[in-house]
Amino acid sequence: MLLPLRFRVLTELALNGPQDVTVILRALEPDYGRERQFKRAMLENHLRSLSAVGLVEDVNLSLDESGGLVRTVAITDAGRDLLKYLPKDWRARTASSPAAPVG
Amino acid sequence: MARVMKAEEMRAAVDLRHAKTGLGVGAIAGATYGLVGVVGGIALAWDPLASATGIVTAALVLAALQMAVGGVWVTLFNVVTGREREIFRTLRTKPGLVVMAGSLFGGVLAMVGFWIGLSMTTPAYALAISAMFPIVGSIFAGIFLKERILRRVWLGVALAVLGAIVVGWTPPEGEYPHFYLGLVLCGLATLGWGLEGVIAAFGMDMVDPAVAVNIRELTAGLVFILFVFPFVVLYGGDAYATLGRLFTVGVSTGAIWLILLCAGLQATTDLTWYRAMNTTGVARAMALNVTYAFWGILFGFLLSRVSQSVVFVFNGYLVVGAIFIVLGVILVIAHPRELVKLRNR
Repeated sequence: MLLPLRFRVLTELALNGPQDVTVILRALEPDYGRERQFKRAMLENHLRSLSAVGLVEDVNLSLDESGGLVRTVAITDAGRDLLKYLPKDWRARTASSPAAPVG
Repeated sequence: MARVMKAEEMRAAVDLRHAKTGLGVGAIAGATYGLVGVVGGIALAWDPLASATGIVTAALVLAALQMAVGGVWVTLFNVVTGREREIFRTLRTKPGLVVMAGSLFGGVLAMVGFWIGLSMTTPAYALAISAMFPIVGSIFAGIFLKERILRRVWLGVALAVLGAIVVGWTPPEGEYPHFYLGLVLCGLATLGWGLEGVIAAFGMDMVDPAVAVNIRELTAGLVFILFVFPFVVLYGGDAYATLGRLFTVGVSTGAIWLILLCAGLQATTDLTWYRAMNTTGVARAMALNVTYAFWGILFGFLLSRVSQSVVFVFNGYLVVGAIFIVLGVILVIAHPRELVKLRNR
């Protein structure tokens, strides 16, 4: 079963460690790619909202070749704590995830 | 080094823009809710709502339609923006159920408490007590969400609430045998709206605000029609008959179009309110939301010029209340940079 996109973004960071929005887009594309909501701007907005409430945090900032901002974000302890609200099968996946620790 | 500094600057600009957007949508939420009140007031004066039997039947039927039809508007919005599958996905998760629970507090319990409380007291008391919901919401947000609320913001919330109370104040007259029970029910409305904000904000940590609103409105609309209306009928109200007459009498009087407009405005106000709570925090969003009292007066004044269904009476309370609201909002929205981190964690 697919998760709500925002929750899936948070879970993705728990499963695969710190990432930037381009990597997250690529990772979620097979599942959500055919939906009109699945746009870079939407994912950036979800990440921004997750960051404002302290569930993810920037761990690296850089500029890409065209001078655009690249934010690498990681899930925080508060974000990880919310994973207990995941459905059972997803909870099992995050529990066995080898993702790098925060920071 | 220069590239790192440039990246830092760009991040600060992006975060600030996000915070300012939240304040902007919060302001829109307050204004549109003011308009909901005025348009809803006109609808209540038109048949079939005007001829409904039972003290609060018309108000509860209107509330149910605002939620149910508003929910249909939000569903359309979500279909157009490609979020339709999110609705069912969210309903199958705990955050979705949390949002649903929030809607029972704010969308149903608070509305029922407000209207029955108002019928047992006076509009002055009902509006004054229910306008305090941002204070209740801010307290809960501080405790349960660890929301960062500065002293200046507290003062702003308090001033906005005080302004909303003063704007709606009219000296009460007459005798009310169930007056104190009415006050308790109005307090229930305050508690319900305050709790809804905090519960919804928690749910929106994990789900999209537009989807949360969709769930909120459809849940509340269904609960009204399936579980609240039977009690209205039990106490002599003709809730279902009024609903039915909307498609006959309501078409000829034009009330049905007003209801559609009112529900559209309700959808807009809820979409912007939820987004503001998610972006600027519960305390600020609620302070901006309570400005509906001011906007309601302004729209009431403007519409009284073009419609005989709207009566506008100017008095000193309006001016004093409006000043309090404006000062409160200025204190709340000052320094958007503080919104980059909303919680203490």
